Amino acid sequence: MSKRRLAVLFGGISVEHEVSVITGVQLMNHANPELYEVVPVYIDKKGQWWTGTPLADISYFQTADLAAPANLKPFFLNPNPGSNFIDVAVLCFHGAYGEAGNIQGLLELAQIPYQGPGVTSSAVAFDKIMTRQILTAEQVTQTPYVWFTQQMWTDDQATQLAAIEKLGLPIFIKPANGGSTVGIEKIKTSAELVEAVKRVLQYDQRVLVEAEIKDCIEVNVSVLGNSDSQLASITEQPIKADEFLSYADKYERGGKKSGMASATRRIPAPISSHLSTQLQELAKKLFVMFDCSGVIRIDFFVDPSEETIFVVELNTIPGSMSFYLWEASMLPYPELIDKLVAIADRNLAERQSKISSFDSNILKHQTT
Amino acid sequence: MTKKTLLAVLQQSEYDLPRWREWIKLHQGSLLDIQPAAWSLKLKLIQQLSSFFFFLPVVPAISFALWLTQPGEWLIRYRSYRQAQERLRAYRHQGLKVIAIGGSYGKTSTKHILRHTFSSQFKVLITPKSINTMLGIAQVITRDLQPEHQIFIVELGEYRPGDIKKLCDFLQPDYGILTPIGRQHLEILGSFENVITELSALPAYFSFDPEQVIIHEQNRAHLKQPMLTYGTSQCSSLKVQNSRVSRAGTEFTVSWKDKPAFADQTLFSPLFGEHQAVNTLPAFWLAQKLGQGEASVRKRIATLPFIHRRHEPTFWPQNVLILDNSYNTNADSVVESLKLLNQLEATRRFIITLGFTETGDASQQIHQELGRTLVNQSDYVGLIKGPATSDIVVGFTSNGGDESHIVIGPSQAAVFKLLQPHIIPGSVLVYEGGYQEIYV
Repeated sequence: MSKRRLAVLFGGISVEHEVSVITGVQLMNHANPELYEVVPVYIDKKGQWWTGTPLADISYFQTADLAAPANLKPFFLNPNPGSNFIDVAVLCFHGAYGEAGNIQGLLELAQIPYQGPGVTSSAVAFDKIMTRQILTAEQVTQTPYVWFTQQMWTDDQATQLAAIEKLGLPIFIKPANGGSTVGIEKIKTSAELVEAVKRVLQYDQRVLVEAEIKDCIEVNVSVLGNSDSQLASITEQPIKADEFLSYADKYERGGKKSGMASATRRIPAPISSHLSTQLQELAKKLFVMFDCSGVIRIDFFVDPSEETIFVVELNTIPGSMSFYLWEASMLPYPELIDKLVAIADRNLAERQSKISSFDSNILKHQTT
Repeated sequence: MTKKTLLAVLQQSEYDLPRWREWIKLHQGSLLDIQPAAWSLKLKLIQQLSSFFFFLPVVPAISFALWLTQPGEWLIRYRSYRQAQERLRAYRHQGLKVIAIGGSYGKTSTKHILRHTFSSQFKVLITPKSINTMLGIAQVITRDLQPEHQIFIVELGEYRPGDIKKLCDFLQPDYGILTPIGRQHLEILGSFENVITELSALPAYFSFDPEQVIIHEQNRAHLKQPMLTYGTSQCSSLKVQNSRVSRAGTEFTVSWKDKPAFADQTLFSPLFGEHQAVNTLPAFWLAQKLGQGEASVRKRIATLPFIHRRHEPTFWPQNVLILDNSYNTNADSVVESLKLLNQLEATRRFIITLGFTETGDASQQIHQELGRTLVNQSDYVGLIKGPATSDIVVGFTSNGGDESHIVIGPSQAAVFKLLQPHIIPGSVLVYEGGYQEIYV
């Protein structure tokens, strides 16, 4: 059986560029070499696309000058279907563009199978405000929130402040678009509020403000599948060293050698089996609600005493592809990759099976 | 051996000269370098006084310096004791409830569980860390106890015959909890019978009203008077049933003899093991006494924080779980640890231990018994080299254990390193005792 050319796309113009490099390299190192010929596709911080075998080794990124990468070839993705030499793609981007639907659109134009989620799902889940609005419409429990744009803030700061203060303190202020915890501020006193909003507006022109729910712990669940079937992973509790899970907590504490997978976390989360099942069921429901596909991670706040659950966000391409959760759920990383490839193929077949164009004589009668 | 090491060991020996000398005898010629846990005023004073006797060998110099500190210490103790007694009396008049916890093991866990359970409704003070002597408790009272405190939870230590009675007389607790009596402190109290006699002073204090004390079911055999018991057996008044341990924590039901409806709901605790579920039972009993709802106790138990070095978990990558129970162990409590090790799903099971401390003349028998037990409970055994090492190995091999599955090293860290090549994804490893530097 000939090997399939598996493109692993990572990097990108994003504040989570380095995190994406770790996810991409980890995935390349775990893909079954008997099944796949891995084609690394790296997008640098300026948006240039590159390929080359050195990209499969994390040490390349530790030593190379990424402003002028050496020993790499430019990579071109042709939007014309059938014009590319790759058979299937797995996206390992985190943050803007790569996780927000842009690259997904390009792959769909080129009819290259990829794990998903699709363009709409990626774009909506990446936007924290839209995510909240869908949760509201679907009556899913979430923490109280308000949102506003830079213009709304400039025009009527007092109204926005009054709305924020109704949430009580402390609160989290977040850019609407952005992954990890970059740009997020936790505010405990009113005095800090205005300056914090200004700082967050440097990341995005739309801002989400969330209330904190007392006595909650963060619990995450990964979901794998597509619209046909979904599997929920074991739960995890990220261990907080700081006030909230900072970028450093998530990605830097593990140190260079261990990367993200050894950031401090508790698997499974310290919650009852009943609550754990509830979370897994809700995670699967949200996966379908947001038309997800591939492997995603949903973050929740959970009160173990009251057994209440609040949805925080959906990560459509989670750090490390949440492989540590799947390993703990008895699915080794190479098999997780196989499943992502199968989902990618299934998604493309599904899209192609639907009517997307038909013969029409409408142009015949069009004069100008 | 350095003077600093000798001072550190003296401190860990609770300034008990015979115990200290026994340790020196056992470690003659050793190059151990042990740091004092804290440079307390007393330790500094002994260090400075002993330096005046430079003409004496270091052991007699330290012994003499210790002797010289006695009168001053007695004065400090007396003053601190009186101040604490007055403060305690005054606060008790304002409604403060004092809860005394005695027993050989499980005291610290029970204390932390009670604090967490009641701190949502009451202002609670506990004796910190393992402070459990008269002087230590008196200092906590004078330094930390405030008029707003409503509950004061005190751990009682037994280092000399009569300690528990003296502590009860001093504290006059409103409620008492006696955790299991085990084969611990045999060196300083002489025999297991003496340990029983000593710890029985706590329930005896409540002879005027036995309803104010609850004892672990294991103690029933040792105490003549019928008392309210907690545990897992059918005859206990409060019992844990249907316990199920997973890597998330422990699920269980609680049943109470006089309350048939009590056992309907499954409880969850993040703490690992049936023994920790049992340690929550006094909280239900006390909640009733203190007027806190049982539902609130259930809810608080779901968020119990881990207790330092009491099966405290570290979650390693690749689903490797390390449980640190290194603070304390004894021949009786190790049974719970091994049970926990076997209840948790694991690809391989490991235990790192030094054996037990203060086992007196029973040491050989107890450690060979441990070695025999470990054959069926653990895939690999790491031994921190100490006086009991050879007995554990003898027990292990005599029961058919494969000696190549035992590694021996000078410290916890060294033993762990030796075991590391055998640790595979999904392994569970328990550190059982061995924390106290004095014995390393």
